[in-house]
Amino acid sequence: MTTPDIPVPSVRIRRMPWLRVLLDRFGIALALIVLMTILAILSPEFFLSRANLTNVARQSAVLALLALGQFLVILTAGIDLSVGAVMALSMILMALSTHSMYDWYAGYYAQSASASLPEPQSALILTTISVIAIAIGMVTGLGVGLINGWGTTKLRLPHPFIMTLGMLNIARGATDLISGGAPITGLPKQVRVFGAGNIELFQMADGEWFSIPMAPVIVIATYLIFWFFLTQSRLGKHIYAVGGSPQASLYAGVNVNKVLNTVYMLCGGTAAIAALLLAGRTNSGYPKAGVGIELDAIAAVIIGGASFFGGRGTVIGTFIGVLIMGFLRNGLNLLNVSVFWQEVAIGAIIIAAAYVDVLRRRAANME
Amino acid sequence: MSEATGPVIEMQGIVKTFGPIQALRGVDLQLDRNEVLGLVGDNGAGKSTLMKVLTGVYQPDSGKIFLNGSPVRFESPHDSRQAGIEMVYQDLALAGNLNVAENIFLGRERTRSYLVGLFRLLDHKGMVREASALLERLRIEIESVKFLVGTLSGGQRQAVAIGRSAGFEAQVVIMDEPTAALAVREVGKVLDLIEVLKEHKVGVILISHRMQDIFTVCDRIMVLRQGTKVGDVPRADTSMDEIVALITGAQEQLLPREQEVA
Repeated sequence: MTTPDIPVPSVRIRRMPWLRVLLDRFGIALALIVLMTILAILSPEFFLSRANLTNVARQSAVLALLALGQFLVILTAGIDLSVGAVMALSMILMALSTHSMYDWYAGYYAQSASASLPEPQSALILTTISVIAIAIGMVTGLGVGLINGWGTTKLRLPHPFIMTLGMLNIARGATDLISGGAPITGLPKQVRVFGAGNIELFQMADGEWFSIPMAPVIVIATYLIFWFFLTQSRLGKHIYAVGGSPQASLYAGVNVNKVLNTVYMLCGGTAAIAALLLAGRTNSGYPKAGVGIELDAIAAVIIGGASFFGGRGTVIGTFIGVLIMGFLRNGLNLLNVSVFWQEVAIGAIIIAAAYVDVLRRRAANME
Repeated sequence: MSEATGPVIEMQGIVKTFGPIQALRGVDLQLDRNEVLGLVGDNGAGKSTLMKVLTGVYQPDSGKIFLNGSPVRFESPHDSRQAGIEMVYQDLALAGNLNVAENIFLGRERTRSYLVGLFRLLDHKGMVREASALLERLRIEIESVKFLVGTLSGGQRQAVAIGRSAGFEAQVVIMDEPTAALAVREVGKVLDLIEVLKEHKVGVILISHRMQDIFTVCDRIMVLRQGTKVGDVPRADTSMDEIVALITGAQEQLLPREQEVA
């Protein structure tokens, strides 16, 4: 049965009207612009001032990092409830190790007869201590994240919700145990610089330096790296694939467990960077840091247009989601709106954002 | 890459048991290049198990597998895919949130080295180009490989899934109920695609409950019943009634003379 003239399978494609494409792609950015415009009109003297914008950028830095890690996890249709607690644990270990290393060396220095040892307060010693302490903080975040990943990939717990809820309690409890529940204050400037430092760009006419805070620069750099990783690397593409269909990914030979472990590890890693920035800003490690912030991180990701079903969302969307939350809180503060109403507003926006995703899925016929 | 004569796949005396259940009791299978073999049987007759043995999902308890005449042993689906044996899954194993090109290259993305091999980055353009060429070669008409798979119809998705498996160096494509979930008018397109694969010298094993499909595209039909091969006959020499009788056991067996069992 040779059919030389096989009929070409004809195909009809649903074309999206351009308006829908526009809203689909830039809707969230438009929402941010509208929000900023309204706030600029309502609070013309303060809202767009450099001091205020710098303030928002500084305040949003921690949330931005936690949301970025959370975004990766949500891309795989997972969730990480432990980010706030992991941040606190990482922060306490950073602060505690700084102090104990310093105390140990100071004791050693006092006992030692040798005059050639550098002083405990010397830049060399403080830098060494800081580097080790920051490394400890990073390893803590990445390590706890990896353990979270194992909860799904090795223990095969029914949902990452369970594992990370457990980890939330474990990390928070460990933080209190380690610190005795009290903050550890006073950090060398080599640690503080990331959270509290400024980058001086140029001198203005009045002789003052035009500077930008370091924290948002670190945030933007991290976002750029993650964006590049997600869009340009195989592993990044596999994260989207696993989120879209774990089964299809498995059949296609994607190492799904490796993808999941990586994602939770990176989420712990961003929590550790957030810990570094927060420790710098507050010049301390305090055990109650980031209580409940995991919910804000999830909210920012959802507002940023990522789908809770996994597989959909962008790094830039998450960034805008963080900014919307940051500007909304800031703007409502400037307008003297009660904190309670701010929570109501943010809650309504979360629901609206999730509903937009539902509509989008329905439109794309992906239900 | 392979000699042009002899069967591309030969399975001999495959036995597979799961605890007390004997799923396969010494099954032989032969597939020529550019042949479409229909594999039929009731639920639980061992079709899927046999294919899982062939693709390395299961390891047989005994029996041999030859690929182009040389013995092979597949420890995992990855091994069999490396050897050019591809499986198209019943449940349309595609990621709806990725586009056609990304799905076709899923798990085997093309990359390019940058900075003396320090970075390996995705070759987006190359993949789009190759995916378009593949679809064209297989006469699968989709306007753009940049469309999200989630927006395609069931038939188009099945075509992409088959195209993806037939992909690049496939010698054998196994399809498990490729038309089960499709609208009637889309079934024909998938069957046409099977013909195109045959033209491209790809051996196809088609598992289906739809006798019309089997009789439309298959060159030979193999029947399994309770883990035993009870039928192996060219399509031209048989009828639907006879195949159904073999499946249900109304007829004992229909095999080439040398394979008959007393």
